Amino acid sequence: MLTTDPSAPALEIRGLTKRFGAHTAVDDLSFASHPGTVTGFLGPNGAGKSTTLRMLTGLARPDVGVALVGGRPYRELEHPGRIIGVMLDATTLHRGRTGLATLRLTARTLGMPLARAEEMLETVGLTAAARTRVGAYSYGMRQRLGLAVALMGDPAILVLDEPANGLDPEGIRWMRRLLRDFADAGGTVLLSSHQLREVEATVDRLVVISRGRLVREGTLAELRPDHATRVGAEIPAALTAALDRHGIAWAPRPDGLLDVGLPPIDLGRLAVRERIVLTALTAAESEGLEELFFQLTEEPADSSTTAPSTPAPAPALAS
Amino acid sequence: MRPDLDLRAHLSALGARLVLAATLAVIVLAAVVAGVAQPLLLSDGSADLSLSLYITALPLTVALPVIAVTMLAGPFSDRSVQQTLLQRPDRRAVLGSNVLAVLALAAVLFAVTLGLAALATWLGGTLLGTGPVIDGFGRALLVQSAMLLATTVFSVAVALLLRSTVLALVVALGVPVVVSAAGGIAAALGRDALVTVVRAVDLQAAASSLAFGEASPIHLLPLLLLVVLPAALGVRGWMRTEVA
Repeated sequence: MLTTDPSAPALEIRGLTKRFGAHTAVDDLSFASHPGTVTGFLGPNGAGKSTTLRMLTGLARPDVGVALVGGRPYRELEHPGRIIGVMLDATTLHRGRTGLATLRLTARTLGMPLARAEEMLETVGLTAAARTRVGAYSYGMRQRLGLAVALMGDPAILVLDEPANGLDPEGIRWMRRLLRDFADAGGTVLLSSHQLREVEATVDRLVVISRGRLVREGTLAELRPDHATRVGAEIPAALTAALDRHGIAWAPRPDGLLDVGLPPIDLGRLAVRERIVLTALTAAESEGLEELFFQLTEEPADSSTTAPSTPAPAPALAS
Repeated sequence: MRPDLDLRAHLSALGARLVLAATLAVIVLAAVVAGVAQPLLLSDGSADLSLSLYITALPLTVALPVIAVTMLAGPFSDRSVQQTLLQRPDRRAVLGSNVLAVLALAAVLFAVTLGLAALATWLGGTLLGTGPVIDGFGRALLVQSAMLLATTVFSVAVALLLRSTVLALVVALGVPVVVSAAGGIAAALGRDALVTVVRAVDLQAAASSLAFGEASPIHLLPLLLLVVLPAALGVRGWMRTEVA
């Protein structure tokens, strides 16, 4: 049985870690998604979003930690498609089947009426392409079909990996409306993206990761830079350890300071309580959410990738 | 387990339908050739059902590996296994279901082959010759069943192990040819040691011997090396592999 507590998270990632040899793709990641919300799972390419979603959906096993759907691991769900609709990669839809055959097969698998296949095609605007093979679909059409597959079992949870990829502006607006309506009806949505702009208009909460680690989590309002503080400490390690202990997101800055997701007054109180000597404490400049996202997720400067001191030659002018 | 779903999934794809249609067409052609050619070419004008079955079943030695590999390794090559496992995360059940679906399809194809061989032999023998001959058919049926079953389970084991359509096809179709050729060469050279080595991997010969109850260790060795071992490793990989 799935948990019936309405306040319980529909999706829960707890201490998830995944290593591929020496590379840590996901590093002690924890967050949760609750019913009635759209959670944006944000990070640059290679941040570990897809790996996390694959672990959440049982396609990969975590080295440490658990990923739960309604309190249970995905692989233990008897009919997962009736609980959680998933679209990770629309290119994995079989190219040799028609859109209609794909959805009818999904309906049979999930024990849904076959007529729902036509319904879903209409919902995602693919009725005209019902008898066209998926191999002939554009990427955007496959994304729509993937969403139809995810919605087939009438699930209460949706997990979508970069769903707006390949969609035209009208398609993106349609997707936003659909996800918003789904959440407003009590559903839980977790959608990943590497572009803040893509999800900013849809999500209630953001989970931002970089290099496999959680760097910031909260509602859009909480994450706005006016709620952030730029801070320095005499012993930076003591400050970061205290922030970690209290589950407060922080991100290092190139100047040695930290951007912390807490108003200055609260951070000051925390420093007093933890007996940490601060060397700087200012409200972070209001640079907008997107700028903050770039700051949070930017790669650290690497001497091997720094620009050469000699400027590159200018291209030759045509005579 | 839902082998019906896996059969539907396989048969709803264009490529699988083309393979199946081509297989049936070639089997029908082989049956016609067997039924018509025998009364015309054999001195007594008869049509032997055993020979018809042998000729008609020849296309299956290629078709069964192709079907087994596309059903079991294909979803890994085209990555559609992701969709399957998202909807049916119990890997053990999906694997068992897929293997059952392959065996069911192979059994149906063999039954169709048998029926066509019998029909063509009866028609050819009655209309063009002195009538059909069914002496020794039981033995022929037993040998053909055993050899085609061996072909199928070997292909299943290879597909599970390699999980790549191209590699599995090369191995499933190539190994029997290589072993058969090596057997011929070993026999021609008269080297006992070489003959023994080839026999240790000659699954077709072993299947034929096992069908007649000759279960000596040398007959069980090919089964172990070419079916049990790769299948066990393949199942382990199937259960553990991380799907992208």
